[in-house]
Amino acid sequence: MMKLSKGIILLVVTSMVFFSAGCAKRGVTSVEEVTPPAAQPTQEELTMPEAEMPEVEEEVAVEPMLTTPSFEEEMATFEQNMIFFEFDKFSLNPESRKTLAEQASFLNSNPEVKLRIEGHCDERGTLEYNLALGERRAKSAQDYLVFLGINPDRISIISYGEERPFDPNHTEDAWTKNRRAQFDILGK
Amino acid sequence: MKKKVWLLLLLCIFSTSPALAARLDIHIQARGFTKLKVAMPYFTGPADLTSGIWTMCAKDLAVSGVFEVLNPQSYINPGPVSTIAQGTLKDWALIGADYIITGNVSRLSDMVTLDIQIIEVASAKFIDRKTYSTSAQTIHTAVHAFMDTFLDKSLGLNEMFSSKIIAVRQQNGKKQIGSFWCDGVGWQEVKGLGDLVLNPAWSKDTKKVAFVSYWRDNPDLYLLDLTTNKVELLSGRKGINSTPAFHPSGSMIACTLSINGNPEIYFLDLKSKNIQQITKSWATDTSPSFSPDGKYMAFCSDRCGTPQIYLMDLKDRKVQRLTFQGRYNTEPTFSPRGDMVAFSNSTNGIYQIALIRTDGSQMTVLPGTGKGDESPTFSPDGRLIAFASSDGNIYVTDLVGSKPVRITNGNGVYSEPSWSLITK
Amino acid sequence: MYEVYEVSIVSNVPSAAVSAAPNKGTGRPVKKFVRNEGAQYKKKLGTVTKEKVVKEKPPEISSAEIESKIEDIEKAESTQWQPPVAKGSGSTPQTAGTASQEAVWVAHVKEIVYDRWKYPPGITLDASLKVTFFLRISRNGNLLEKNLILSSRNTPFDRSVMIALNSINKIPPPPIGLVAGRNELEINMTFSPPRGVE
Repeated sequence: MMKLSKGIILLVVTSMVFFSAGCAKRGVTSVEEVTPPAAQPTQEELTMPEAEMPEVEEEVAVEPMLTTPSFEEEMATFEQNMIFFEFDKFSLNPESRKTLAEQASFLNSNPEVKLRIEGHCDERGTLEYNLALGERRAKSAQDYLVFLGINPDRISIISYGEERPFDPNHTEDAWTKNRRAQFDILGK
Repeated sequence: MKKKVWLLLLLCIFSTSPALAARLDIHIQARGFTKLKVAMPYFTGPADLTSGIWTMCAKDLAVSGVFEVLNPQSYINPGPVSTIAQGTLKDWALIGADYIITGNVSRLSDMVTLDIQIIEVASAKFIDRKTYSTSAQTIHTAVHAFMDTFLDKSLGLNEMFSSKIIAVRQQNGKKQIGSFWCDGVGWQEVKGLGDLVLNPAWSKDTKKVAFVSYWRDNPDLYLLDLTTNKVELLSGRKGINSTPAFHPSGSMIACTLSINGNPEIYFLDLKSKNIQQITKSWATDTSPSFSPDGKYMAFCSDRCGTPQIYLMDLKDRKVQRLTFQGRYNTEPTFSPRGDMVAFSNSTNGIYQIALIRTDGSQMTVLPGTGKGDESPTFSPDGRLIAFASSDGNIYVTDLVGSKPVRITNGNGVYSEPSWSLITK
Repeated sequence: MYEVYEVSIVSNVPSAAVSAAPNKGTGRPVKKFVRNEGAQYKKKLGTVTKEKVVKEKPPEISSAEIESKIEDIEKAESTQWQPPVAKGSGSTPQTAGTASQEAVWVAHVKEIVYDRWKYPPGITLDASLKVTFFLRISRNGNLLEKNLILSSRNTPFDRSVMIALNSINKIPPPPIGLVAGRNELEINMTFSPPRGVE
């Protein structure tokens, strides 16, 4: 039962990646495809009626989806994803769980990837206590990923307490952004 | 006849005030707190030296928590003068001075001499006259020696100006540890510990400092031996290794480790580096602090839902909750007198230093700077508390809520002060 | 009846604020600090003008007036820091009860001591401290002897009291009732810190 739902999520996520990667790739693919065979005429062809281009693309579009540039983009997305917490709390909200599920699917597709989860706090609260709270936030994220099937050996955690704010301002908005856990791929 | 005389006597005795029968008893209860006032006309001597020395004396008097320096502008003669002429004592009494300090500074090549006199106005007597000699680079030692003498001769207070405060200074995105004298003079930073150094703590003999550094890209615990300048790794376990606190015996530190799943307090033997788990709860347990006799440990835990201060009897490991007011009480530190714990309290989002007795009674919140105060640490005799404010400065205050005195000068953002015992 | 003298120490800086405050429409006479030729400073209760200082015989003051002057001193005492909760102390002139001479004199002596005793903040939070001094007063009000007889075990606390007592050489002569039959009065004066801190 678990495996089935996980499989569905994986499928959904993969297809999302497929489409998003596909959408992002159109312009690049077309240039890349067109450029190598004819260097000089490229520019003229590029300015030609654009309506023709998509057709050309679609025929060759299939393979590039699975090449490394896609992986780099996924890595970037993975590291840009963050989960957020309420003040003085380390519990996960539904939004966080959703994000973690995305992270898990990436990790499942790329079993060689190891990561470190960082736990952070906003500047309020006292320093020593925030070091411990950051640790608990990172641990919450780690525990959930393990729950989703990721091998715990792949995950390490670190707390930065209030020492590395994402937004250095002293506003409610900045504080909300700083109460986070973020993901760092090791050995890039 | 004799009977009549006796009767008369008895009548006299009983018809007059009852107080006559015994000594009159009068009880005086102070109406409030008042600092003693010190008049200190500007010192005589070379202009480039006297101003700095006078200012250091004035700052130390303020830091002491019991004296207030009267502004020289209110004196009949603000100086520079090096002595008080006989008969002019009344002028000083008129402005309310309890003590008069006069000084003369002289320089001979690399040596500086400070001649200081203290007069107690009440008894109209000189209570001290001394000459302090020091090299030009260490003038502060003369000033500190004088101030400690003044504390002793006036109110019989313990010396304090030879104690140091260790703290964290942030500059250019990096945090380093360093120390200065408790009046903020002479900041000396320790280099080479990494870019993110936190949680400094003195040993009782002030020969060692424990701290946290991200040198190995993880919050790890280290020990710096000040006599050899050598650093050793105490604990580099997975997760956090933080909040070191020396046991008074000097052989062990308490710290926070999260290797067993969540932050708990452990004892770490300094020789063997062996660890022993002390708290066992699903909650966060951190920030340990030992009582001066080493029998109790105060710490912070959110086992009841919010961070509060707890006290553990180390004999039987029984834990008693101390704080019940406020939803956020953290960073406890034991007074050297052993009778109370200072900590950081947050009420309505405002952080202030608070005190509580070890039996949980008399919780007092100090008004402080009003900007957000945390990381309290007691002076060696427990009279005063130093703390960090969110304005990046370190302040010293007394236990009854007088206005705190700033000891840092704004060249960097300071935090996490830890006050040593007297360094000899 | 008798004059009140305070020699050599004045605890407050005479400023516009201090002397103006009691004047605010209370209609009560103002406490003033006056300096005369002999370089001796005398503080007198009641309305004082230059002529009155030179006069040898002060005007007669009734004990009721003395009580109201004592209230003035308390109200004008604006420089002392007080903790938020502890306000004043148990012994105010009002509790002197009847206007008997002894009670009024005791209240007056207490005022003088309150005025002189500065108990600094950063010493201790222990409100249970007590130090007792033995004082011997001549019938003229001269302080003949003062001795610490029971220490509070807190040196700075004891010293703060000693400093205050060092500045007192003379107090108003005690009423006849207190010294009748002897030439001096013995007092046990006990000092304690302000009541409560929180």
